[in-house]
Amino acid sequence: MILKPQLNDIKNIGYYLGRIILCIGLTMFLPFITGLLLFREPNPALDFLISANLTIFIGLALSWLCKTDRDLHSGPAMVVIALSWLAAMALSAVPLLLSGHYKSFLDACFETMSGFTTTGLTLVQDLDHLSRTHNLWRHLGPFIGGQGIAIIAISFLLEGTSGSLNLYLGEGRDEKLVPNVIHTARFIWAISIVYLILGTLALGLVGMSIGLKPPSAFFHAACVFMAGFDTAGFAPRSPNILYYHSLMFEIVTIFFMVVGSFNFNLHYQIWTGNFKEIRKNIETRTLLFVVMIVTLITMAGLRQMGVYSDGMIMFRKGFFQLISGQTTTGYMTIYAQQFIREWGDLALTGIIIAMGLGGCACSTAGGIKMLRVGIIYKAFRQDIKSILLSPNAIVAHKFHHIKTMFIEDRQVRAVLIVTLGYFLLYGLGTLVGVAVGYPFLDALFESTSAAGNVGLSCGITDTSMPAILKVTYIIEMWAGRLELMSVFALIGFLVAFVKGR
Amino acid sequence: MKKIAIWYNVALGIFWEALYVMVIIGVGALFALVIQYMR
Repeated sequence: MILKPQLNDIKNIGYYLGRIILCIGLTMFLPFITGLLLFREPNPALDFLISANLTIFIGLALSWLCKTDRDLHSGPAMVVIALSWLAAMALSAVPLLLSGHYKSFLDACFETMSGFTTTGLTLVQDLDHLSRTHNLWRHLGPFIGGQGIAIIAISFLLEGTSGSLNLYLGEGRDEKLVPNVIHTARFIWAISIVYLILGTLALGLVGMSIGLKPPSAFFHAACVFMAGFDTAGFAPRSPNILYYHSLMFEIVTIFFMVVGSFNFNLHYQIWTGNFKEIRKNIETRTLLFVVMIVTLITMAGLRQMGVYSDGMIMFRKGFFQLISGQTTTGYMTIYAQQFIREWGDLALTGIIIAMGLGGCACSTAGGIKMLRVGIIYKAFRQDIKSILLSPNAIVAHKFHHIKTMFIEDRQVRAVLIVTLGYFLLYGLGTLVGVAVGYPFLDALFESTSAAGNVGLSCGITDTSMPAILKVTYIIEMWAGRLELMSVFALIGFLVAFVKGR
Repeated sequence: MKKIAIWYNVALGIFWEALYVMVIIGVGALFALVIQYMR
C-alpha cells in the first residue's frame, strides 16, 4: 500500500524549496549590481531587479507559509532537489525573456536549464548583441548549477542539519570531502573560486595577447572560464571558441575543461598533499584509457573522410571537440553543421561514446561517469576470471578511489541501474528526435549531448526545432544532471499523492 | 606558517593536475601526429 503524503511532508518540502528559491533570488543581485555599476547597462540591470524581487518574494512566501522545524529526510530531500531545479529554470528564465533575445518563455527556460545543468545547448537569438549583464547571467548559471543549486543554500542559508546532508546527496553527489556537509559545500566553492581567479587571469592574458582590449579580454575570460570549468560550454560570442582563433586559448581551455571534469574529492585529496591519488585513482586511470580509445576512433574516422589536412589541424579540430565531449563541456572550434557534413559516421560515433561516458563522478561533468565505467570494467574482469578459474576459487577485485575498496555485488548493481537509466535517457531523446523527422545518428548525437549535459550540437538545437523536442531535451538535461534518482523520487511522490491512501 | 603550508600544497596540487592534463593533451597530439605520418 502506498502512503499518501501528509500536510507536514508537503510543508517540509515547501520550506526547503522556499529557502533554495530565496538563494537563487539573491544571486540575481550579482548581475544587477555588476550591470549597473560596472557595465553601465541600466535597462538590462533593471530586468534582474524585477526578477530578483519576484524570486525572493516567492522564496520568502513559500518559506513562511511552510515554516517547520522538522528535519528533511532523504526521500523528501530528493523531491526538493528535483523541484528546486525546475523552479530555478523557470525563475531564472524571466530576466532572459525580458532581454528580448528569446523567441518564447520555453526557449528561455531551455537556456537556463541548459546553463544550470552545465549542458551548454543554446537557443539565444543574436548572441553577439546580447547585453553583458544578460551574458554574465548566462555564464553564472553553470557556475551555480555546476557546484549545485542546493550547495549554495547549504553554504549560506541552511543550518547544519541532516536535511542539508540529504539535499547534498540528492544532487547526484554521494561523496563528502570532509565529514561535515557544510564544510564540504564550502570547500567545493573554495576550489571553484581559486580556479576562477587563476582561469580568468590566464584566459584574460591570452585574450589580450590576441588583440582583445583588457576589459573585454577579462570579461570573455571570466565567462569562458565559468562555462569551461563547470563543463557547460556557453561562450560570449556565437562562433563559440572559434571566435578567438588561437591555439594557446584552446590549450588553456582544454586544461580548465579537464580539471573541471575532475571529482571534487580528487581535488581535495591532491590539494591536501595526497598527490599519489591522481596516479592511483580509478577515475583518472579510466579517463586516460577512455580518451585514448575514443581519440583513436575519432581520428581514424576523420582520416577516413580526409577532412583535415595535417596533424595540427586534426589536433585543433578533432581532439578539441573530443575533449570537449569527453569532459561534457561542449565548447566548439567548428560549426555545428560540420559534424554532419564533414565528420562522417565513425568520427561521430567516437564523439558520441565520449559524450555518453562523460567525466568524473562528484564533479560538474555529466554522462555515465568514469567511476561507474571503471567499476563495470572491474566487475567484468572479476566475472570472466571466476568463469575461467576453478569453481571453488574466490575471485576478489579491488579498485582505488580515495581508499582501496573491494568490488561488491550491491555496488555493481547500483552502478548498472544508473548506467541503464542513462542509456534509456539517451534512447528517449533519440526516439523523439527520429519521430519528428531527424536522421537516427543526428538524433542520437543531440540526445546524448543533452542527457549527458555536454552541449555539442550537430545543428538540431535551434529555435525552429519542434516544441516537443525542446521539452524532451529539457527533461533529459534535468534528469541527466540529477543522475535520475531525484527525478524518480519526484515521480514516486506524485504517484503517492494521487494513488496513496 | 600553517597557511603557507596549505597554499604550498594547493600550488603543488594544481601542478600535479596540470601534469595530468599535459599527459591527456600529449595523447591527442601524438595520435594527430601519427595520423599525419600515416598519410
